[in-house]
Amino acid sequence: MVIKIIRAFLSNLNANKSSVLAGTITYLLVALLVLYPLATLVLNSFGISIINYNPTLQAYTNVFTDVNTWIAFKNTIHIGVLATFFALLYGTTLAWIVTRTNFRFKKFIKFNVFLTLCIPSYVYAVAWIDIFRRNGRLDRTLSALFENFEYVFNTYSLAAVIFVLSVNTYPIVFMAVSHALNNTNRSLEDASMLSGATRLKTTFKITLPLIAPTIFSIGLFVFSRVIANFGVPAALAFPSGIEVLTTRVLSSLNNLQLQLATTLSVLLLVLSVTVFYWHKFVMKNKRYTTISSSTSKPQLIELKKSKAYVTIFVVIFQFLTSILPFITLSLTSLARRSHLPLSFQNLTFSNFIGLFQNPIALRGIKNSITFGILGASIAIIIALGIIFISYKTKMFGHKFIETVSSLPMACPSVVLGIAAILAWSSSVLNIYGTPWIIIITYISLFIPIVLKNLVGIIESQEPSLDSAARVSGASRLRTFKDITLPSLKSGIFSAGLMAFIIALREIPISLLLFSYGNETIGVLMFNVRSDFGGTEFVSAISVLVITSTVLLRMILKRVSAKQRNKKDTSLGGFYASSN
Amino acid sequence: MKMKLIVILVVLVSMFALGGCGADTNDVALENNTNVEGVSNKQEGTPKKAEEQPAATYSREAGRITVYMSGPGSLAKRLEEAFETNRGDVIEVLNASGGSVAKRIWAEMEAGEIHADVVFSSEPSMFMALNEKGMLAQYISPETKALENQYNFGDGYFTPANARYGIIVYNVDNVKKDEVPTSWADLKKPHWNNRLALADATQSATAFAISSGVEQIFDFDWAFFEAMNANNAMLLKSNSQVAEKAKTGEVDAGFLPHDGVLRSINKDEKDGIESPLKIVWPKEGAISIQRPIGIIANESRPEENMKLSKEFVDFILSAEAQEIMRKFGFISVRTDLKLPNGVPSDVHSIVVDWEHLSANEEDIRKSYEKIMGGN
Repeated sequence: MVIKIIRAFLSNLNANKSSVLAGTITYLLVALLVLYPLATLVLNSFGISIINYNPTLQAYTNVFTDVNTWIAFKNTIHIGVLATFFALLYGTTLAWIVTRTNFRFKKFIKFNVFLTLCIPSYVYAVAWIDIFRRNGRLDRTLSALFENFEYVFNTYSLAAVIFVLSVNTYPIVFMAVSHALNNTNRSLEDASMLSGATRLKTTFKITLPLIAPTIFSIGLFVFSRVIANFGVPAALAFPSGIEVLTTRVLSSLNNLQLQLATTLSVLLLVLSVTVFYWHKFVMKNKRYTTISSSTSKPQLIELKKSKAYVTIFVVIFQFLTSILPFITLSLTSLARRSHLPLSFQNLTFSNFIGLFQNPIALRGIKNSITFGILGASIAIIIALGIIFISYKTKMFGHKFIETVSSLPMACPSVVLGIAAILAWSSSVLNIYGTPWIIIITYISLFIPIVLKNLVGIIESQEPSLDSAARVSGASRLRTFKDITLPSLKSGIFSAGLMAFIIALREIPISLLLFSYGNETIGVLMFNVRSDFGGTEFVSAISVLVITSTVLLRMILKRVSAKQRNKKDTSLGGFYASSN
Repeated sequence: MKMKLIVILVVLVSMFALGGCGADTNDVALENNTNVEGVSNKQEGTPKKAEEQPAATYSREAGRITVYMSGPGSLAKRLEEAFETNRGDVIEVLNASGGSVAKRIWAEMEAGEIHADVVFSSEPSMFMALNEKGMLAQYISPETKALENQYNFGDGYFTPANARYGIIVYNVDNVKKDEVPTSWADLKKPHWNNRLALADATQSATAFAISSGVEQIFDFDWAFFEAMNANNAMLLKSNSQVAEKAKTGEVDAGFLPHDGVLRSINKDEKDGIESPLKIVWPKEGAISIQRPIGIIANESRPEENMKLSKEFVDFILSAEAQEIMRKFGFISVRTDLKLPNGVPSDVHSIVVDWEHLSANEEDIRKSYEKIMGGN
């Protein structure tokens, strides 16, 4: 028996030397790029590193007895729970309106959801400050309207963070819930209506329970994204002295307390990974949402009296959350100075021209594009290797490699950054201060996004094609190259685009890892300075990021429209959007 | 085919990336990054007081020195250009905030070799700590003779190369005439509630120095920062953000080094805009912060590079470099130069007690954090 297995293995090796080689290289790369940094992080928190073996729990006792850490932890949970609740509320309501009613401006809703997806969370925070700060857009408007007006509003608070993050994440809920609602069996709702239940009763007794698992799992996902966010609490809570776990990681680094930053990162990692895999588990086990996609045209609920209210809600909510931020940022980006009154002689394009004349700004833009393309390309190659192993071979560990490679998706970016500092700046392996440390971390972040996109396509593929090729004498690798790869073409392209979109908006990784010469767009946005360009400059760069994201996402939509017959691949887009 | 294309693409792009991301030090750098340059396996707190010896390795080429310089990127660029005018490409300048420079140096020291030949950074306490560990080489520049007495300290292990004043800035459009502050104590008044901003001393080395200076005025009773907290003063990442927030009118006043304010006013003037910012030179005294320059001790440094390092120190203390820095708003340490435009000749200033600051850094930091953090 044993001999038989070994012989089978050997003959396999001989016949498929190159596929074993390809598999082995993939394993090594995943181990080096994904596992090694995270393992270094965790081991470091227990006092173990390449150059130092001194196991201790001291770091954890320090963290758990630190009052500020507890406060940060409490704030993190507070933001997570409330922002998730509101994101679910907005997202589900809008999804219900679009899929179940005869509301007339569905295109308007979808357009705004799209625009919201294109605005990075940190840019939302910048827009929030622009509107709500003292002497901001709102203050100045109200002061012009009312005499002796005194503006009292706390611009920087947990509530601001909660609002901004719930707006930033509700499109994820909208997309998931719309998808679920479209796929639920309408006959159950029809039956309820026929039996005399009111619309309201049907909605609450039939529709909502049907999509409850979707709501629950997407809620967990939103929660994991919200607690991972760094830019928004850094911009909107820190100025009031309020810290969350992610910002505390950064401030402990600034105090040279790398041990504290490491331990906090591990805690954040455990929290996020738990919630994330819980979400995946729920996703897998939800049963009754996709019983059938009914072919009959669904009966839409007619909005009669409530039409006006729904319209007002939709228009006001969406105007405030997507169009207004864009308008206010555009106005500031066109202002000679943001404190000057709005008039034609105070408008200028010089802030935009400055983006391409100022050497730092230009370098930042160039770096983000380069790191994004490079990171995405390498991530695609590695992801193809992973797919080859887990779907086309029976190599050792082919069942786990996909799960392991998905880990970075569950990690907050701040944690990836700290892990990279520990892993790549030791005396043994030192690439700190080079662009590669950022690119390598981008690769590990992009691999799961690419995988997510490609796995959906692979799973829906006809296995008989592969068999045909194999029977005709092609090796595994050759089959993969000639049969599988061509079918993944558009998937690869859209995955690459998604990864690139993240590179344009990502802040914590480059903020932690950049050095002189390697600044990215994220670093430029985060570090405002008055003698350099200030608020107007940040607004100009924000507008640039939004418009380029809109363009890229439009291309993405086109590409995925072509592969619509394949399995739903939009999930990868959720991850891309929530950064 | 597809694979081949991807591989070729990757190779091409990586070549572009390396070409594009090299250390083209001629560019202007961001000052206030929150970067932790090269922090390796560093443990908590300030560096341990071990008897460390200057590094015995020197990993850079001969004929070219590396300078770590904090301050505005455009100033670093100008100084580099001026120094290289008759010498060619002999220095590489790494420009970062004072805090980042310090972090980088501590991290590199632990790893075994500080990669800088010369350090020109934002306050003396880092140099004092380096000197205590024997990490600085003594060099008394001939230019020292031209220095004002108050700037002649450091025994040649480091030499103050310019100075800046911690001052109060306010927005003329938003502060009524009778409200204009004249002293640090004025900022404690409750009518400043929600109207103040300051840079977080745990993130900015200069902000830490100014904060200690202000507390020194009040004998470290911490009432000033308790009042800042009671007035809900906005905590910002960097000093330049204080000027920015005051300029946009988001806050009405704040405190920071004077030179950034002068540059912001100058920039507006150049664009034909009247700046809303005005400087207050506080009655109790502006906080004077010297910015020293020093040579890192390294026994295996080639003679050629030691000579260049000394020449660079001479250059920074020379009238030519001092004049460049003066134009950026810095106070010259020389007796033969004027004050920058916008700085009155009768400024009353207070010099930070660096000895006290070095010795009590941990306590000061903790008291500050306790008051300003965790609302």
